[in-house]
Amino acid sequence: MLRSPRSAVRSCRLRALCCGLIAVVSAASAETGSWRYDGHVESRYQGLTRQGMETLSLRQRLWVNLNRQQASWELFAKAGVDLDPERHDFDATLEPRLHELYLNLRPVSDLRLSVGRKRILWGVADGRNTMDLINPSDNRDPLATGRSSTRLASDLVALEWLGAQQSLELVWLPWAAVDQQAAFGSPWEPDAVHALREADRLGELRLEEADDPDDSELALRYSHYGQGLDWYLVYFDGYRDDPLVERLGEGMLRTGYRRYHAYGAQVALGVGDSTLRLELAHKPDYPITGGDGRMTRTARTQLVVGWDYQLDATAYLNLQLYVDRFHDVEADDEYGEGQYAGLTLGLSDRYLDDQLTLGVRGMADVVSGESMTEIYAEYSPVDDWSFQLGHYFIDGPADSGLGQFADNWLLYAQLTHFFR
Amino acid sequence: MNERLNHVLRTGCAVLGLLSASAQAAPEYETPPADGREVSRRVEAVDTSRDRRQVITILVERDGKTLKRVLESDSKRYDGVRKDLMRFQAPTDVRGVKYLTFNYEDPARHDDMWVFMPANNLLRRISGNGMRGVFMRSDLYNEDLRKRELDDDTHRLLRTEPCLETRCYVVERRLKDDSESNYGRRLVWVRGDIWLPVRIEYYDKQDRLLKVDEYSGFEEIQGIWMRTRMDVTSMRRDSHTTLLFSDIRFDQGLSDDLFLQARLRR
Repeated sequence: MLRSPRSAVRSCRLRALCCGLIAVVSAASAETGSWRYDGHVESRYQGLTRQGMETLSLRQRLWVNLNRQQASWELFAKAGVDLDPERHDFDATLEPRLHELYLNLRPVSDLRLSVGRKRILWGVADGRNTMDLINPSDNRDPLATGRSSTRLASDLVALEWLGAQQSLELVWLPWAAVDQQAAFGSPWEPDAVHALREADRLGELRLEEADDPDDSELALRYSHYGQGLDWYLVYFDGYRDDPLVERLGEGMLRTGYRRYHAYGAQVALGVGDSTLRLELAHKPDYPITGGDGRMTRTARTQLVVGWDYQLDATAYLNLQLYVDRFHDVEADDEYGEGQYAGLTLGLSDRYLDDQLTLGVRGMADVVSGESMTEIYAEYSPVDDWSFQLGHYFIDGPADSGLGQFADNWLLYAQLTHFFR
Repeated sequence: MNERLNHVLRTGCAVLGLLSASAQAAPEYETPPADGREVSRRVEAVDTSRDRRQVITILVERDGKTLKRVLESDSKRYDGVRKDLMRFQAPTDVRGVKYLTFNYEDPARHDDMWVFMPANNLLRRISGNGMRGVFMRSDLYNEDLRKRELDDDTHRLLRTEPCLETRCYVVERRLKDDSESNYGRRLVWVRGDIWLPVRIEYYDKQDRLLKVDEYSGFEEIQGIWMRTRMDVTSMRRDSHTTLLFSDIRFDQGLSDDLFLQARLRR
């Protein structure tokens, strides 16, 4: 996956603005304070295992968090550099990365303004969040865990009103934040996209790949915190993160990003010693690719109900059920099945005086038959060192969302050192 | 989020109770306590601070290694509820994690707890389960760290005996409902001069000694007596945990805003 020149220019503009704000605030502020930093160095191996061992990635990472906090403003930055001699979908094996850089201003006590690149997760469920729509997925390295994807931060301006037990957030993305397709030949490139790109290269058809949308995106959230119960109302007006493939004419196709609206309600309810989590989202004009190869729209409703519980001193269980329904689809449409349902699971236990954690987490869709399971171990004999070893198993019909990646059974080993 | 952080998120909130219980004043009593409950009531009653700010350093010594945890804690009392905010400063992988807990005096009401996870800028409601779990690989169980209300226990005054430069009241406390506890009973040695515990022995449900807490570094800070050191020794594990309380300040007029959920985010 490569960032388009347009998106790179946009990002530079916002970061320049943010840096300018930082300079102005720093110069104007008479407050004293110090910079704080911490970070980690990490060595990670990833290999594909299903059809013989094949090294996918050998990432060496230096990651630094920088923070300065004052009474009226605060600055956060998270940046680093990745070196990966085994990755073939990078321009270069050495890649500097700016994950987050944002400035918070508090002009008055009840208001907070954020400007910059930021990760914002809106949701109460674990890993499967129906309204986590502000940040795009990282398709170069998509697996965060067996039930969640890696997300990239977005350039945004956020204004938040902070009440006693409630808050209202308005988030404006001056340019839409959408997924970048995995590069041609990447293990994470969808089969259909790969076939089209290959045909384009062979001259059998013409595929025009979309640039990032020019338009802005908007999101709004009201939060209420009460005794035993938190609830949220969320609105999103923006783009579907992954591009649609649309037929323009005979032998001509293009990928394009399409706009839609989403409405969500979320609840976190304390039930005895456990927590019940519920997310409901309705997307009345969700764009999909129709059976005729043209964009069409359908209403989409998603429901996630989750429950987490500490089984004993060391064992933990997290269970979620979900339903994802597309209301007006036909058999040949994208999501032609129209309804998906399944569960996500997280189960872990600790051993050796809590130095070793063993666990399993994943998801299974009972309608489509697709599933992903991660087994993992994490060993931390001391605070500043951690070793992780795990394996992902991905299965399902070849035409399903996960099943197309069924060859990507993945072994990983990761050694991390934390510093400050 | 790695598993160690996950562990902290699931169980670390419990430390707030311990921190709250550590601030005590020393009122004068003309008569000796009549029974165990009265001793415990005096321990409870002498906490006069409206709010408190402090830093807690936890050192865990095990297998020749020392693990260090550093927390900043703010606490404030309201009618019927005490609000606690805890911010992790170390170790590095949990730095920036914050806990907000509303501890209700009414035992029938479940406490409210939220955790802020900086990696995703996410504020999340959590529950108070897992009280029997170990706190961050230390010699503390999560249940040790939660404040136990007077009426959660039965109290029996066993004896008085000399301890340090004063006399101590030895009180046996048993949970009325021990289904969520590792313990069958606790023996608490309470100083009769400043009404602070100096030693607590913990026994399991088979009445075997599990571990011993010893308190020291008693200081009068802003007119309130306070322990500044706690040593925990496990009988069954070759390990030792020390808690050091520092930068203690009472009644600083902590803003109510500190304890608002939305302000935990950044």
